Amino acid sequence: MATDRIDPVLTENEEVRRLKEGYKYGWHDEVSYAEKPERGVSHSVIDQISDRKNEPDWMRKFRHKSLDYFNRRPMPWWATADLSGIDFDNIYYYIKPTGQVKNWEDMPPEIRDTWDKLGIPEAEKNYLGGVSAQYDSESVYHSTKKELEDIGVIFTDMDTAVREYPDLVKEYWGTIIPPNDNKFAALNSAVWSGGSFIWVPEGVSVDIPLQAYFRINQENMGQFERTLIICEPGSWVHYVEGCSAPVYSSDSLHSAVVEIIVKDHARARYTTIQNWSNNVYNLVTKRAVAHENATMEWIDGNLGSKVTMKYPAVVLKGKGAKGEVLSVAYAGEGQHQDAGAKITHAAPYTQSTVVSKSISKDGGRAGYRGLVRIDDGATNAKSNVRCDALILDEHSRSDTYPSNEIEEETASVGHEATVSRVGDEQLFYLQSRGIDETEAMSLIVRGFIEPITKELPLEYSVELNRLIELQMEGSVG
Amino acid sequence: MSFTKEDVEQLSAALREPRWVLERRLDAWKIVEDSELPHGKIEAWRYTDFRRLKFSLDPFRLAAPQETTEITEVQETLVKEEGERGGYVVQRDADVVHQELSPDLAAQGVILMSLDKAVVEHEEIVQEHLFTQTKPDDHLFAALHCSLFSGGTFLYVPKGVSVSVPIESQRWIDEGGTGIFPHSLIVVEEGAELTYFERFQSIPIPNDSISNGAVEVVAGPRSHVGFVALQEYGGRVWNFQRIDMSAARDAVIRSLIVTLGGRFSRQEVRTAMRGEGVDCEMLGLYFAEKGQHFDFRTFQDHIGPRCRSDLLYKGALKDDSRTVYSGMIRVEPHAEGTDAYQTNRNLVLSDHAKADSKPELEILNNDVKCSHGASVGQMNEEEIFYLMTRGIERPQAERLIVNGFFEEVVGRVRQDEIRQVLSDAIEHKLTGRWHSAGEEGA
Repeated sequence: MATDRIDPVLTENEEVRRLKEGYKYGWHDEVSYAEKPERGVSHSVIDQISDRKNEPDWMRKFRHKSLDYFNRRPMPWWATADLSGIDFDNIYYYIKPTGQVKNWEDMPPEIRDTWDKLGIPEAEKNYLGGVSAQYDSESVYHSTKKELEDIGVIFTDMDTAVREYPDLVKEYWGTIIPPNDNKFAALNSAVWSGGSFIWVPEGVSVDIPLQAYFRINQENMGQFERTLIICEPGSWVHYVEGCSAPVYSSDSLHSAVVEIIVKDHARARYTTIQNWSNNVYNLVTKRAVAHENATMEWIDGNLGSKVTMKYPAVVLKGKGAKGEVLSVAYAGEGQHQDAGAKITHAAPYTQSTVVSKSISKDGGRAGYRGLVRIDDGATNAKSNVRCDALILDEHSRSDTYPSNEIEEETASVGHEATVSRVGDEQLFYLQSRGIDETEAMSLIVRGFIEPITKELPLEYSVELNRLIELQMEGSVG
Repeated sequence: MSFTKEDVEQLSAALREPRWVLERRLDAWKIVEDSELPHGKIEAWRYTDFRRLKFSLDPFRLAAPQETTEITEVQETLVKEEGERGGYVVQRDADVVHQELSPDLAAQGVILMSLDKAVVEHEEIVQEHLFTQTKPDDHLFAALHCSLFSGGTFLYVPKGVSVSVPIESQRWIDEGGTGIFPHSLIVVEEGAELTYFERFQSIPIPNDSISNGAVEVVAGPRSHVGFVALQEYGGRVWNFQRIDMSAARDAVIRSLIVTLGGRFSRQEVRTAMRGEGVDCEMLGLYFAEKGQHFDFRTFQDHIGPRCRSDLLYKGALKDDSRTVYSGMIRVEPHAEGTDAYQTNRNLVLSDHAKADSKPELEILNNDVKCSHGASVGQMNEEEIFYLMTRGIERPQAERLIVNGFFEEVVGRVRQDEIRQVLSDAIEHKLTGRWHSAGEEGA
C-alpha cells in the first residue's frame, strides 16, 4: 500500500503547477530604480553607501571594519547546505528605490500594485499598527500610527533611526551581534540597508503587532536589512516580519541581522514568515538578550528560499528570564531548510522551550540544528526541546542535529525528536469519515504544524495554512 | 609522535606475518602520516580538546611483541574465579599470554586464538574479513590502530553452531609509557549464536599508557550475536576504541559498552544493518569521576529495509568529570520500514561535572519510525529524603539511586554470569575504590 501511494507524488500534476505559478507571490513587477551601483562589495562601495545615506562617521568606520572581518572569515565549515552557488562578486549590495513617501497614494504605481497584491492597505486600514514596507534595500514607505507616537514608541526604518536617534542607536548597535560574529553577519554589518528600529519605553505595552514587509525585486540583488529592537523594562511588543519574493532565474542573497534587547520584566515576540522564491540564499543572524524575568519569543516560519540557514538565539542573561523558539520549516523541491535555535542559559532560574516542526517533500531537505547551553552557575535552569519531522515522500530528507552542553548540576534539560511519515491509519480514518485523500493529507499536515500556527497573528496563520494546502495538492494519488 | 614506520615494519617482521598484512599496515600508515591530532574544529571531536586535556602522542612507545609470555597470578585467578566461559584469550600488553577453548566448542569447529596466530593459521578467513568493518581512514587513531595492531583475538563460529556460554578476552596493561593496539575479529556465520565479552584492565603503572583497540564483528544471516565490553583501566590509561559491527539479513545483534576506567576514554560504536530485518540493540553505561573524560559516539546505520534499532546510553557524572555523547541515526534511501530509537540520559552528581549530548538524525526515507531523546538531570532530593527516612545514610542512598538508574541497562543483559561481573565492577566504582592515579588495578 505504501509503495502504491508514492509514485504519483514523483510527478507533480499540471493543475498544481499552474496554481503555483499563478499564486499570489509569484509575480514580478518592473520597477524603476533610482540608482544601480556596481556589483560586488569593496571599501569604495561602502563609501558610496555611507555617502548616499549621509551617515555619521562611526557608522562608516563600523562598515569598513566589518568588511575586513567579512573578507577574513571563511565560509561556515560546518554547513551541510550547499552554499557554492553564492557569488559574492555578482551581487548588488545597495539599491535605492525612489525616495521615501508619506502616503500610500504617493507610492509609485508599480510598487503600490505589488503591495495591493499582498493586501497591505486593507491590513493597514484595519488593525496594523505601522507598516514599515521595505521595497528592496530601503524603506519606501513608512507610516506610524499616531497612537504609537502618543505612547512614546519609536518605530521607524533603520536608516532614519541612525539619523534621528543617533545616541540610542549607537548605544545598542552591534552589541548583541558583533560584526565578527559570523561571515554573513559581517557582510550585513558592512553593507546593511533598511530594516526596522523599534524602541518601546518603560512600562508600555504595544497591543497591536508591528509589521514590515520585505521583498527582493531586483535580480541578483542582495538584501541586507538590519533590525534593532529595544524593550525597556516592563514593556511588551510584537514585531511581525513577512517576506515574499518574485521568482527570478539567478540566485539572490538575503542576509539580515536582527538584534533584540529585552530588559527586566519586558517581553518581546518576533514573528517571521519567510517565503522567498526558490533561488534565494537566506542566511540570517537573529539574537536576543533577555534580562531579569524578561521573555523573548521567536516564531519562525520558513517556507521559501533555496537554502535557509537560520538559528534564532536567545541569551538568557538575567535571573528568571525565559526564551522560546517556535519554528516551522517546509522544504520542497530543491530546497534546504537548515533552521534551528540557540539558547544560552547564563543565569539562575532561566527557562527555555524550543518547538520545531519540519516537513520535507519532493526531494527537499529540512533540518533542525540547535544548541542548548547551561553555563556553570545558571542554577535551576530548565530547558525542553522538541523536534518533529514529517517526511512526505521517499526522496526527501530530514536531519536533526541538536547539541546540549550542560555545565550545571541543577539543570534539567530534555531533548526529544521524532521523524515519521503520515500514517496510513490516520489517512484511512479521515477517509472513512468522507474526507478525500488530499484534504485528509492537508488536514494532517496542518494539524502537525498547529502548535506554531496558533501563535501567529490571524492573517499569517490563514496564509500559512493556505500555503500548506497548496503544497499538499497532488501529494497523494 | 613517537610511533614510526619502522615500528610497523619491525612489528610485522617479529610476528612473521604474511605479506598482505604488512601491506594493509603500511596503507594505514600512509593515512597516519597525512593525519593530525583531532581538534575542536572537527565536528566529531569538538568536545574533546586534546590541548586542554594535555594529551599528545609523544610519550608512548610501542609495546613490543613477544616480550611478555606468561600469565600473571592475578590474571590467572581472575580467569578461574570469573565463572563459566566457553573460552578465554588473555593479552598482556602486546602479547596474548593465554588462550583456551572448551574442547566441546573446538569439536564443533569454533576457532579461538590470538589474531597474531590466526593471520598465519587461518589466513584465508582472516584476510577476507580483516578491516572490512574498521576502516583506517576515519581519523588518526583508527589509522594508528590499523598500522600497529598486535595480540588480539580471532573468534570464528561456524554456521548453525550455538555457543551457549560467553567467550571472553581480557586485555591487560602491565607496563607504563606504552601503546597497545588489540584487535578483535569476530566472525559469526549464518544461524550461529555467540556472546562475546571483552574486559580491559591495568595494573598500577607509574606513567601514562595508551590503549587503542578495535573490535570487528561480522554477523551472518539469522545469527545472534551479543557483545559486551567492560573497560576498567586505571587513571593512567588513555583509551581509544572502535567497535564496528555488521549485521546481515535477519541477524539479531546486541552490544553493551560499560565504561568506568581510564584517564580518558573515547569509544565509537557503529552497527551497520546491511541486510533486511536486522534487530539491533545498543546499550551503554558510564560512570565518570575524578577528572575522567569520556567521549562516546554511536552510529545506527540503517542500510537494509525493515531493520529495527534501539539504543540506550546512560551515564552518571561526579566530581569534575566530563562526558560527551553524540549519536547518529542514519536511514539510507532504501531502508524503508525502519524503526530506530536513540536515548541518552545523564545523571549529574556534582556541580563541577559537565555533560554534553548530541543526538542526531539523518533520515533519507519517509517510511520510518524514528525518535530520539536526550536528557541531563540531577538526583531527585525527594528520593534521597525518602531513603534517609528509612534509616539509610545519604551516601548509600545516593549509591542506591545511581544503581537504580543503571539497572535499566544492566537488567537487559541476558547472561547471569556477565551481569554479575558488571554489577561487581559498578559497585567497585561507586564505592570509591577506583583510583584516578592508577595506583590500584582492577
